[in-house]
Amino acid sequence: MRTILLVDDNERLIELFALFFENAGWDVVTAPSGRECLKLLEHECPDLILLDIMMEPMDGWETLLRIKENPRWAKIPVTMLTGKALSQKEFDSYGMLFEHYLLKPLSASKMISLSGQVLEVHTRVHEVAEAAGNKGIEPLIIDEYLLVHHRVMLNHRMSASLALQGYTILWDLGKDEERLKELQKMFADRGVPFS
Amino acid sequence: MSSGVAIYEANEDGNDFFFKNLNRAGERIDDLKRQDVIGKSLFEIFPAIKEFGLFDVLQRVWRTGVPESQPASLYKDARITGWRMNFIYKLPSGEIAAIYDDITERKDAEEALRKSEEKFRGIFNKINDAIHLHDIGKDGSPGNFIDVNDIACQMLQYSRDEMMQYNPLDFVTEYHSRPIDKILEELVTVGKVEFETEHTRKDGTIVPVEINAHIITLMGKKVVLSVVRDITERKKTDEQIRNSLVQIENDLVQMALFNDQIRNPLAVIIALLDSEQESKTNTKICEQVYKIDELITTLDRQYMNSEKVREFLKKHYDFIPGTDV
Repeated sequence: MRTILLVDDNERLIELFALFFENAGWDVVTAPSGRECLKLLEHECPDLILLDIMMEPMDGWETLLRIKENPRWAKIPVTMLTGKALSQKEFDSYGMLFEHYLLKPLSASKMISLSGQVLEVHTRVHEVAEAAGNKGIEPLIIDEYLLVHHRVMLNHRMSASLALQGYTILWDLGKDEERLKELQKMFADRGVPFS
Repeated sequence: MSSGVAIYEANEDGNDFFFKNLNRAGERIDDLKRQDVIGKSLFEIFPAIKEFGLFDVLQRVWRTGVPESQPASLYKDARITGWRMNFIYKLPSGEIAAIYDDITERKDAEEALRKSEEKFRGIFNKINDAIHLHDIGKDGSPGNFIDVNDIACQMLQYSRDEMMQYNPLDFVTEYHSRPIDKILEELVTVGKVEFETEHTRKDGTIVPVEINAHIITLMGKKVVLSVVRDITERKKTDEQIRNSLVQIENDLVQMALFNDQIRNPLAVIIALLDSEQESKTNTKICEQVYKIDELITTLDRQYMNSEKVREFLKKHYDFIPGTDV
């Protein structure tokens, strides 16, 4: 069963979200702060983390950095869920560290469906990376594949909401997509299965 | 001989003097012909001789026999104008000899220099900035003041004489916009330097200043000419602007915080509605919630568009709640 870690200092909200995820068949663990989240990760290994930003004293960005700095937790996908609009600087600083950025309010069904998608894509791409490693593809190429894949996915997921906020950002999507196709072809030619 | 020489003979009571002789230099100086003046009265040739002051000198020397010199004086009548210096003495024959020089050119040059100095002094003292003129050591270290203008004295509350006892370092505080050794190095190598520091007035108060110092050559000697500007008002304005910006930025950060705080209960409402059966009422509540959310998004756009806010939003979350930024 999939496990999600919900991190938010709004008790009422975390209670409701936990209920929805449980009803949707997820195992749920919750933390009311960034510090509690890090403590919990010492003995829990969630498949996905839903992380609020505006928390005190350790905010969501700092918590995210701590998670990604720790080799044991670095591969856990993180979705930011917050009431604060994402700034360009925040995107530039942390864009490579989170999988998605969801703005409250959000319907439960949409949140659960997006979380499922994020986890599914994340799992699949890491399976591909592992298979590529088994086929003897160079680690540098595999790292590039993970990086470009992340950028393409984030661009797809967020370009609409960022455009809504008036940003004209993100990387050269055309170039990234082209490179991703080249890498996927290279992997396929070396016998890496794509499901 | 370049000096003019005129020989006079007095009448019996010494009320008039008559030309007995005039040398060539005298002819040239006063534009006269010897033959035209011999035997003529001094008053006839030089009608303004009394106003000139020479007549009194001639009389005294004729009476006393004691030689006298007449200081530089301006002679002016309808025919000629010029500065003259006379030396008068009585000859053994009783005649009076006047040896004189035309010093008009020298006096004109002196007058031009005086006017020029007056003009320079006027500018020097009327300029709105303080001006310091001081010696300089080989390493750029300032020496004693050579001159300062009135504004410099007013700015530091010292008299000019008091100022002359000091050198510029006697007034500066520890604060310099750049390390002082770098400032002196630039002055020596580039020949000029601009920096900010603070001066201490006689009453102990501090005045922030901007100094623009240049090395110039004055009478063959290298000295420093510094224009010292009082930047108290500019500093105050900068501080006011900075405080205003901090206030604006604080307000904008508060707005971001409020937006998050408003969205949290909206998220709870949506979650609660999600947990209930779908109904017309619930749908309408949902619509209203998203309308509120749209309004918040509009606010988001406004503050996000501010580059200043983005700069201000430090590090991760860009502010520390409950503290001054």
